[in-house]
Amino acid sequence: MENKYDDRILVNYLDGSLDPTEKQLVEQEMEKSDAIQERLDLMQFTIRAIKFKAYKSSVKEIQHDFLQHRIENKSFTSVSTPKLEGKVRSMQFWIKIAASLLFLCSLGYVLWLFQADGEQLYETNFISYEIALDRGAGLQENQLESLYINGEFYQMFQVSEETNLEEFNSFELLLLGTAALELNNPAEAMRYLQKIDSDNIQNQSDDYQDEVDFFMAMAYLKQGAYEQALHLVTKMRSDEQHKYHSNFSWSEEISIRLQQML
Amino acid sequence: MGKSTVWTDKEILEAISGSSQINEAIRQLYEGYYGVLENYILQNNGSEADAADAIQETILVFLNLVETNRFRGESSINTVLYGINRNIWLTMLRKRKSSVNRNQIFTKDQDQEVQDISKTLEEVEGYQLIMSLFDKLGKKCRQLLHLFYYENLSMKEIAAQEGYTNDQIVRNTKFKCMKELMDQIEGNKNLKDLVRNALGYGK
Repeated sequence: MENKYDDRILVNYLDGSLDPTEKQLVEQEMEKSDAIQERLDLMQFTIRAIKFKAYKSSVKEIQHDFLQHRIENKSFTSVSTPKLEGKVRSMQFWIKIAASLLFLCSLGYVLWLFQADGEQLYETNFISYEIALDRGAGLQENQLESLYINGEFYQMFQVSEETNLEEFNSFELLLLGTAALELNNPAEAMRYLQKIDSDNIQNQSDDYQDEVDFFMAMAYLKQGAYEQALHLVTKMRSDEQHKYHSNFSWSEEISIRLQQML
Repeated sequence: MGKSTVWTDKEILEAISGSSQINEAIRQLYEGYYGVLENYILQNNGSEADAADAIQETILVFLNLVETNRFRGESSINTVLYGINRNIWLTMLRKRKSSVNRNQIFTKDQDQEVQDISKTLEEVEGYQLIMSLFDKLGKKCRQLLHLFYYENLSMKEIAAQEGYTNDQIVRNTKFKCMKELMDQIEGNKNLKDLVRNALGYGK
């Protein structure tokens, strides 16, 4: 190994794609050099973090399903029924009972789906945008970011009053868009979020695209624009890699679809 | 929750460490232990929402213990999950500065033997920070690293699925993505120190 810090070789070692001779060579180098051992440990830690991210997404989704399933089951099992002692009922009787229950449940479910309008879906699903913890390390925190962190949303618009939309970068546009949503102003939020979206299309980039999808869907729901909201919710739910993949459940997607039809 | 068969501890551990049917294994954990873990939180001044948060983190910490070979079935999954859950709940209470609640738990539970998970919690903190850097990578990079390291797809399979010309291009692109992530970690002193501590280099 000529270059003791050749990351490519170390990555291949961790991926198990070196031949036995190369593998042995790396292991010998590791014995001799603490720096190589440390670098390798850091890479392995990073790989585990990548897996952990996927675990997190799976666990979140499974927990959501589990709790949903439990709530649905609870509502059925909590009904106490009188005992029918000493009476033998025919199969036809039980089929009728089952059919009635099925009908009532279906009716209840459909009613539940219909009653969840955009406002309710917004209230249930809205989460504030959180700025990544490490952002301050590489980039200088700007005024908008400081105001956002302190929850001073009105002031964000005051200080940027004179600034043209074109002058903001994607991150600032995202902060202003989400701040507008925090102030219950979805129309204003759309101005900023749509700008990022159209810039991404024009530049073939994906700056904060996942966040834009989510918060635009929120803004559409708040405004009752179900067709546009549905398009984004379907996009997020069908892409497992989307950051907001698990934020909307299947039944919520159906609710939006039904609202669109009304 | 389609699967009705109850798995043994051994089957759950094999599914997690072998990365096969991992989602099924997680479902088994929820079906088998959610009630017990939730009950613990509810009996110790927590709400159902608190329980949901704590249990989600408990399951993640457990997966990390198995992933890092620090739990190989020496004690039952039930005991380990209980210990992790208790630790996490105490940490949450500590953050809320509710010494009254904390003291109540200590007096109730002082005889329980609980596994030390402080190292795993430190690791999880490091993962969270690396995850925020991972999120800054382009979509293609994120997808590629996910498919290789989590889905365990081969370079050839990724090339076919993602439309790359051949597996060598996937290999090169994957390395570049990994390098970009590593460079970001290297450039963040706080994160690097935290990871070095978690790995035992900083002590």
